[in-house]
Amino acid sequence: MAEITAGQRFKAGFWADNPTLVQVLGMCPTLAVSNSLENALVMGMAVTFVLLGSNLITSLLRNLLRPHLRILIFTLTIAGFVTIADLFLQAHLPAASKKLGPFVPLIIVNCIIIARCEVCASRSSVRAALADAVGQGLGFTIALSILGVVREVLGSGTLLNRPVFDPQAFKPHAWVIMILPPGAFIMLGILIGAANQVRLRRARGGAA
Amino acid sequence: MIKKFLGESWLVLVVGTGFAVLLAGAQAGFGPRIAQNKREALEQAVFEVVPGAEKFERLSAGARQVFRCLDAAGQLVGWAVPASGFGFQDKIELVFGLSADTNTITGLKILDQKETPGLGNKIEEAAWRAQFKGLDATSPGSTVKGAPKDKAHEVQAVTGATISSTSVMKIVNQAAAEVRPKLSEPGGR
Repeated sequence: MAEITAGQRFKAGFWADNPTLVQVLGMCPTLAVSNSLENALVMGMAVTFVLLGSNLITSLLRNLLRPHLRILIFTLTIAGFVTIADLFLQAHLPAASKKLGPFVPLIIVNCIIIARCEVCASRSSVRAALADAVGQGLGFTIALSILGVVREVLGSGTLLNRPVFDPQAFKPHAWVIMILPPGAFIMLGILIGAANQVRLRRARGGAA
Repeated sequence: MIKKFLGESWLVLVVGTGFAVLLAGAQAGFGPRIAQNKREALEQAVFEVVPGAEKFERLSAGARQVFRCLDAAGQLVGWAVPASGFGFQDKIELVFGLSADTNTITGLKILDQKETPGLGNKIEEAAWRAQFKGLDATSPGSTVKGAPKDKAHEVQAVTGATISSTSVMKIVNQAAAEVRPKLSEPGGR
């Protein structure tokens, strides 16, 4: 298997191998905390931090890993970094930490991270693993932010908690379903559908 | 045997120990700030659960800490009582208010909970908590399914989260029963 370069790893996260739009991993936080841009950004940054940490450690240890114990090492590493991220948020962003509630500790079971450890970090150089973490993390953050912006604007009439419409005029027209769980499914479906459409068009254009 | 065990697992042991040290460091670094955030959240909640409170004094009633709340003129307007206990998933921490004569509950605020998102976490919502305002504190309240008949003693449980709801009620009942006699005695004030 040809070594994939750090640059390719970094780029893949945004479009070709986007964790949300293509791999469709980490759906639990995607659906649950994309109801506002603030939540989406904090969750995205926390996942990026954990990805960086766990990809770094996994890549450093990659030649020592035993096949039957590797998942144990991955989980241990991820849990360690998630706990640090959780403590940091509780200490420095208490309001955001309260809003995200159990979804910060739940990053431990976010399959994006363990998938990157398994697919990339455990068989790549440190450089490629770090590039992969940043690319995947930002790809996840961007996808979540798009959902967050649409859902917050349509559902609450605000962006980053600041009103975008006149609150009095907006209230009767608020699309409350957008900030509730069904809104997440609807928007995610539309987003993945749109991304697939673009992909199809490009593929067709390339063939013709 | 031991040699085989160590040969297989030394990496897990080393990584585990490494993370234990790292987490201890993180806890030591972030701990004081987290404790301070919690203190500030509690103090803010005290003003929410005791209407008219402008300032407070901390004092202890038995093993519990309570807040004696005063208005701007220094008149006693009520008491705020922090309490905690087990919910459906994990510890629930809350603070509730008592009127100056300790006979009525004046408000409830949930400080920390890890109940099921979408069900149990509705105990945080203002509309549900508002049911506690005006409850009779002299006898234990209870939770009911459906609309309460006796609004001075009953609170409608959150649908799908009976255990979370009764847990909150139990925590409030227990703390109120424990604290009220101490606040009624002149020596306790």
